[in-house]
Amino acid sequence: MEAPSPELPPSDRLSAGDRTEGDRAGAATSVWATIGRWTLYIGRRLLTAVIAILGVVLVVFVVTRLIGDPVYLILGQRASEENVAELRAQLGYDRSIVVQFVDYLGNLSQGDFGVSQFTQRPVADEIWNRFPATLELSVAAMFLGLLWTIPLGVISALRPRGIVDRISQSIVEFGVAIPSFLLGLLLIYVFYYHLGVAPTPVGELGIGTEPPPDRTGFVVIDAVLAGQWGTLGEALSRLVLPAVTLAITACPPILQLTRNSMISVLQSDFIRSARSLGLPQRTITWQYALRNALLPVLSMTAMTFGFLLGGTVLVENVFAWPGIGLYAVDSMERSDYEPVVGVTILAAAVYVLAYLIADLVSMAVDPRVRGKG
Amino acid sequence: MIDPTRSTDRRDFLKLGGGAVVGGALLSGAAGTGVASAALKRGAAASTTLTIGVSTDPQTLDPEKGQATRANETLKNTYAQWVRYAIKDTGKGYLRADLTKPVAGEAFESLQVLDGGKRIRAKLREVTLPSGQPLTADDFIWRVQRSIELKLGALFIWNTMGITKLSQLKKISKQEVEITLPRPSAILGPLLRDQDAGLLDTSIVKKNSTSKDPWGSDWVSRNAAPTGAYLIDSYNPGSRLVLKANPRYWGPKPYYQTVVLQVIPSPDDRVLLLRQGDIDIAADLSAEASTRLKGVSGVRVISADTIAQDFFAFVQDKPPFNNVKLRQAVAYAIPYEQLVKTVLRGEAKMAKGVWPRNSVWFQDNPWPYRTNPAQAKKLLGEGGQPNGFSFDCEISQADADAQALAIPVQTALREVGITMNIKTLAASKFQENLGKRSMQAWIGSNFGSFVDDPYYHCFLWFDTKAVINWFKYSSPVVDKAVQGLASTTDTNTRRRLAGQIQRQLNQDVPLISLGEPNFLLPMRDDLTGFLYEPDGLMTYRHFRPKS
Repeated sequence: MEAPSPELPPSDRLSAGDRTEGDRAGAATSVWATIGRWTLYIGRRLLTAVIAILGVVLVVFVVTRLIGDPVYLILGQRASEENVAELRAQLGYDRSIVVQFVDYLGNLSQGDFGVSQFTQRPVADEIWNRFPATLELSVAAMFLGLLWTIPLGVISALRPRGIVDRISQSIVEFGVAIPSFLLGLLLIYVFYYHLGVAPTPVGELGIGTEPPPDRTGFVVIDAVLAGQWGTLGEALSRLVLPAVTLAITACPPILQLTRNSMISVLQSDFIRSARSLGLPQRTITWQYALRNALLPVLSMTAMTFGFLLGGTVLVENVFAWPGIGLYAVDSMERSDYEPVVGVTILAAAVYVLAYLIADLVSMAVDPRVRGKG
Repeated sequence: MIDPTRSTDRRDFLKLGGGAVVGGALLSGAAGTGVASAALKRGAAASTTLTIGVSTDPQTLDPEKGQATRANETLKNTYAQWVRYAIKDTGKGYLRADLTKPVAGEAFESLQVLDGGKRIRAKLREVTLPSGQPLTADDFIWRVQRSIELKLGALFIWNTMGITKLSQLKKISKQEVEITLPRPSAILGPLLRDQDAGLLDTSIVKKNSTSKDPWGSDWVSRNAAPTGAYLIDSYNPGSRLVLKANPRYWGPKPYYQTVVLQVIPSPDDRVLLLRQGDIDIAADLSAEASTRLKGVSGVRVISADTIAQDFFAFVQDKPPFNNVKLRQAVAYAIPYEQLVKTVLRGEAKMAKGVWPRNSVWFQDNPWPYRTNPAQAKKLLGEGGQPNGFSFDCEISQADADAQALAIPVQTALREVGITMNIKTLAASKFQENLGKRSMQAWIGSNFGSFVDDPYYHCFLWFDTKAVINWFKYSSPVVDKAVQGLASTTDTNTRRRLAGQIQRQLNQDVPLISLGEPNFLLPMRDDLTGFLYEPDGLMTYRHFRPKS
């Protein structure tokens, strides 16, 4: 039976040529109103984000200075108290923490993240050089994570407590329970050491491999741009184990949420209606139910991605991945203030941005959220 | 040292036969280096690249600021020293600094001692530096001036020699410089070979100096101005540092034209990579990780006697350790044998006092402290704490051996009624607390002196005003003997004074040596040429394949 065509609003029944000046003016006003609403919303969110990031900067700034004084490490064991005092004054660490913070904010407002007191390299340069490695790994992990969690979540929801559901629940529990560094080490032991099929865990490229010319900082993209297919293959192969590690340990909440959301959607009225209309199960599941179930998953995905960008430290450590996580850990060990604060600002900004994008996408696709926004 | 040809063979084999492994084909598909078996790779002795797995990269390339091991070792291999230790073959498969012989010239061609040691005339070699400029006396004078002006870590070296002012240096000729010292120094040679005092390429530094940074400090920290056996070829911070042999280096040519310092933060990974033959040397491993590699096919673990010690130290200006009886009580409670056998895996000597046994100045003075809980309890009573006491012991997060030692020490002390609270701190905080002497007690592994000399050792650790007297130890007997050591180069007198100091230290127990660990270095078994020097830093130019 063919479903009757729904009644269209008057504006849609007219062709463009039939529209009056008044209709066009009304439509334009409506577009401008929408843009204005969205701009206001984004502006409000960005303002909140700036306040949140400032709060994070304040906390990290104070905490790093409580962890330890880097001057003793910079000068080394054989430094006298006079040397220590002199260098503290030179670096401005003898000033009150309030003055130091105001000074730091002043520099930050000009895009100056400071300089590492150990390497003398500008923090912004270091982050710029290392962030692509972390981003590349996070994107790969996210891609692999979505590849297994969403289909498995959907299939599990079709037969709750069925065999697939039970297996997927076990995987979720395993992924949540096992520390990422331990899984990474296990994978290295099995695939690199025991089976000899994985490459050496020494970062993005092998020990003897020349990196492609640096155009974007992303080894994979640079290899493509340079047409170095061998390097591309090597870079991709080196991404597999760390990305799998992260995909297994960081993404289970997405599976869980997909499953629960799908179960809820599959019990809703419109799905019952679709079934009663005789639509095929595949269409109901993958087209109607999944589309509705994915909305909460979107937020979780954004959160997971934010976590991946800021939380790959242990995996970077195990796979010698030269990202910002390793940079942060090394800097923290030495109480090298500026890099620690710099990386934290970046991580906070990424989180906030990921949330904002997720919310905007939700608003765009879900009229209920749009109404609330 | 990787043989890519053989590596490819193995990959091809895996592509054919390894398909049963899920994901194996993808993983092996483009693996550049990692799939050859250890046995196959070890045939690659002809390679001229030496790959060393390290825990982190050097934090600086400026000798003025070198402090951590990784930075120090890089500096040692990239900046020529003024002199070098003489070398002897141990007959155990590695070389060792011969401390009984005078130092040999490197950037200095010769050293002439005048006025009973108060004036030193040094002749510089007529060689060309990497910048193309000749080495002259001006380079030495400028080098010292840089330290004096920058007032960073390296200044200690010059000051300890007795050089505090530029006016003590006089250019005699283009290649000769005369150093005037306030008193003769028995340790001038060993200090001149310290990596922090290394020769910089003056013209490169001057070219990269600015009015804001007149000594090129920031630039050198990032880029280096090397003059040694190796130059910096490329550097990706956090990933790898590649060194290339310096074609203008005047000393013996290194076998390995390229040295790769590959950053592999995880010690477990460094162990696996060495086992697989993907790296030649696994550096920066704990005693536990190193000894795990003993007996592994294709791997050899160098084990060299050192003058290093694992310290359990007390800060003596505050309770409870301002009471010598309580320090002695702790010394009787320590399970020395257990620590050496289990925690240090037998790769250490049991201490016979506060002075390291392997020092050429060690004298077998009474050290009564054997594990004796009854005696410990008796001393607790005599020290006014019959029921024991509680204290905090601080440890650096970065010191795996110290953490391993702390647990059995804590257990042993608990048995005599002493509660030791272990506080693990970030490396910088630990260093800060040492500098401020704010702790009650601390444990640290591999402490000691880079120079095996009684004056240097006491000037550094035990004199009341010693720069790293992190114990707040003070003894008039020791201070007087240190003054005596400073003003004489006569070996017999120095030996007598060193003996006095050792006896006093054993009585006062400012620290307990939990063990004297060997220097352990796991490396491929077909690699030779490891040179052990008291600084514990590798010299890459001596390495070569056994064949």
